[in-house]
Amino acid sequence: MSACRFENPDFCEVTKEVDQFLQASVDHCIIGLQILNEMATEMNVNKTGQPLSVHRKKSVSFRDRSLLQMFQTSLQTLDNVLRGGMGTLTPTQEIKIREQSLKLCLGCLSYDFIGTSSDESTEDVGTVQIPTGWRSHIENEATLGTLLQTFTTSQPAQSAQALECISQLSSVRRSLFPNQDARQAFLARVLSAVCFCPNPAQQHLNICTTGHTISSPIARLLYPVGSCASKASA
Amino acid sequence: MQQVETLAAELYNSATTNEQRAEVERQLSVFSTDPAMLEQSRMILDQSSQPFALHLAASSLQKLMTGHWGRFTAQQRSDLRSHVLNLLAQRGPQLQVFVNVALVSLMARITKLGWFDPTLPCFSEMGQPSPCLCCPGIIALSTVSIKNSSNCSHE
Repeated sequence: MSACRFENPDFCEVTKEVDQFLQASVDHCIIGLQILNEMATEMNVNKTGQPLSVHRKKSVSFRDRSLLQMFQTSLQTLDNVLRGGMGTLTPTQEIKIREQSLKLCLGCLSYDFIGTSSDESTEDVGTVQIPTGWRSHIENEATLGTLLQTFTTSQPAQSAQALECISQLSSVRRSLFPNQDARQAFLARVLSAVCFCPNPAQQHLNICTTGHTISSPIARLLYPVGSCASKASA
Repeated sequence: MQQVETLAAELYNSATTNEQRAEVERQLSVFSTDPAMLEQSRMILDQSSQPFALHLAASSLQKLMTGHWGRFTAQQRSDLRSHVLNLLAQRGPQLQVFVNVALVSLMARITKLGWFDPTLPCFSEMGQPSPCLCCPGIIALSTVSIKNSSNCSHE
């Protein structure tokens, strides 16, 4: 890594640059994930008081150029940790990698895709306005599987993060799916995955439910599932 | 350099009284308000091993870039960004967490502010192939240089 020189004048290539961090040592990988997290926040929030139109143009350009790749990176890193592909990790390293990857995953799924949540008073917007191009990644069973496995194998704090990701995933807009059947199939998968999760999950859930952070994602998960079920029974 | 390191340590030391801290902040404020201090801050990033001084340099540079974006040339912005990335790559794993946070934050800020900045190499390439592309290339370059040297930018 020390041999690398960054001299790229095109700032939009940020994900390519960070790839070099992700492929180097574990500590570099953590820094790389931190950079991606900070980029997602910086591009999503107008911190510098730029005119709103300028901010939105940059935010949308970033969404279209880099965000999907970052979402994939977060899942790939989690998958890699779960498979033991990163070699021997110290407990601190493992917690940090999981924490940063999950933060990135949630940051991507909570991105202000269409510029609707500039009003900070609306904390919980509900529907996630995922771009159509993301559909295959959202529907992919591996996405849900990785998050679920992370949920069951992590410390309570990271489990809570993983559950938030799953709840965000289940709140994607209904128009993302070509028809009602595809949406029902997707939600049924989420529901059965969460309900029939092995025992460690329940244990985590018990630990986590003491904090109100968890009750909100579960409630959000229940809403689309509930509306879907009532339609099916009608 | 040593003086800045001492002041930075005083700034973040819990034993410093409020009056002393205000005085130290006044002395150090030049780093985050005067665009001419760019090189000095970069020198601190390169040479200091004291975490407080590194944090001070990174956060000052972030304020400087945010407040005076239009005062820096495209080359200066790009150089600083590469500098921070190289620093993170070479020394990141050894640095304190709060220093890394400040550096990452600085890098992300520059990247966002310069997101639509035209990149100079593209324009120099435009000057090469044919006379019909050369003209717009030169016009674009002159516009970029005027924009970058003027201070009236909203950014």
